[in-house]
Formats: sequence, structure tokens, C-alpha cells
Amino acid sequence: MLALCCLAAHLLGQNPNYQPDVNWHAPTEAASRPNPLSSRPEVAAGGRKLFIRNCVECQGKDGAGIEKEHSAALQLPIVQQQSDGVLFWKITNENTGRGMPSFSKLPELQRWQIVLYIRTLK
Amino acid sequence: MSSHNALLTPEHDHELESKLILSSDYHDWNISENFIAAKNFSQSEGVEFGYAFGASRPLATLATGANCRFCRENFILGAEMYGGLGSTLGFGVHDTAHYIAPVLSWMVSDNSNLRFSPGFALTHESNSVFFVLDIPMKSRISGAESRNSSDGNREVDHLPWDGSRRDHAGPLLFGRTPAGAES
Repeated sequence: MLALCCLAAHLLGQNPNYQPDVNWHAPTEAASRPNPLSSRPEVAAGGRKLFIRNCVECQGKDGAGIEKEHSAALQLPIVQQQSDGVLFWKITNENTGRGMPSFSKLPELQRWQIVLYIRTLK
Repeated sequence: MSSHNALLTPEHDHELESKLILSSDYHDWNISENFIAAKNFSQSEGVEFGYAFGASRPLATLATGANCRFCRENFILGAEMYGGLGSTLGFGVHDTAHYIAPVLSWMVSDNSNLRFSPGFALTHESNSVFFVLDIPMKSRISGAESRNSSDGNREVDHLPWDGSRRDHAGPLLFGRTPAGAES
């Protein structure tokens, strides 16, 4: 059954073999930052647009991750259990070893919008 | 009739150009600073130096859900200043061209921007006014994102500077060098 799931995920372009980078940690202060848009769920639609524009190439259309790109399926608990602040920090700061660029060029609020959209993928 | 017509004579410039590109994001502002050094091997002159710095900000910091091209978030407004710093034969701003240029950038599609920038002379050595229209395209090659010109947020682009102290001080359009996406 597990093998079938892995095969299906692989065929769908997902990344069942994702392993988090244990050396990529957000500082405590950054990890504890709350999402200033958390009370405005309607702006997640803008986050989806930004996600499609900036993230789909590596994360896949529905955030399912792409093995070739070493990207995680964003629905996984290993991603969703991270705080908003951690996700924001990871979007802002690159992880070149895994091919993750920095998106600090995006305005802060737009990065928070992407975090908000990632939460809708649960 | 026996003299060469310079326009018809093939001439190849051999030039080495290097740029130190510094960029930082402060809240929603991007601040970029460049230091440029260029050596023209075709002429017996020293290494020319130039500078550029600029600041820019999107017109809207929150993206709308609508798939629109004329939304404010797709426009970036800023200003740049650039000019020459002389050369190894004489470093400094004396007799060099300097410009200030407002910049408007529009994200035409997910892969391309239209960038318009009128440059205004600040010194007598500069051309009084000129316009730069730039359409960088982004493409994805073998898993690595690249652009046919550099990242506009990081490099203050298309700098008509003249580091030397030549009298004509004509603008030199420096092409952008390929660069990765975000820095």
C-alpha cells in the first residue's frame, strides 16, 4: 500500500522523499512573529496569486512539492507544524543548498500573504 | 577618398567590466548600490569607475486576488542616480557625467517587466535628457532560473555613465549582465 502511495505521488510529481534540512533554522525571534494578516483570511487569494507567480516552479502547482527540486509537499505536517514566523523567515531567507531562493524582494505583506495561502493547503 | 570612413570600418571594442552590486530591503523599499569598474582594452586609457544607487518601492504592498495586469502591486516606482567617478588616470567626480532618473517598472506578465526611465543631467558634461526602455525576460533553463538581463531589484541598471574625463561624456549604455533571480 505504501509503495503504491509512493508510486502515485511520484507519478503526480510530488515529493514523497522530502527530507527537511536540519541546518535551516529560523532564529527564535523570527519564529515567534505572528502573521499580521491572520485576521484577514480573504487576502489569502492574493497569496495564491503570488504563490503561482513565484513558487509554483519549484513547489508544484498545488504545493505538493517536486522531488527534482528537493521541495516539500506543503500539506505535510512537517511544514504545517512550523509557525507562521518560521515560514515567513524561510520565504525571506534563501537556502542555496536546497535551491531555495530568497524572496525578500517581495514586500513584507506579500510574503505574509504567501504564508496565509500555505495555511489553506492543509 | 582614400581615408577610412569610421562608420564603415569594423571596430571591435574589448572591454572588461565589473560591478559590485549591493542591495538591501528595508520594509517595502529596495535600496541598491553599485560600484562599477570598466577597462577598455581597445584604448590606451586607465580603468574607468562609475557608481549608481537607487531606491524603489511597489505602489501596493498587498496583492489583490484578481488576476490583473494593471493592479498597483504590478508597478514599482523609484529613482536612481548614477555617474562617473573618473579613472585611474584621475579619480573623482570632476568633469564627469551624472544623472538622476525616476524609474517606473510594470510587470507585464509573470515573466517580463517593462521598465521606463527618463534620465536627467545633473552636470554640464551630461546629455541633458535621455530615455531608457527596458524589457527584461525571465526564462527557466535546466532547472535554474535566469534572465536575459539582470535582476532589476538588485542592480541599478542601464547606467549611462562615463567614468572618464573625456570632453564628450556621451552616455554609454551598459547592458545588464545575466544574473540569478533573487537575491
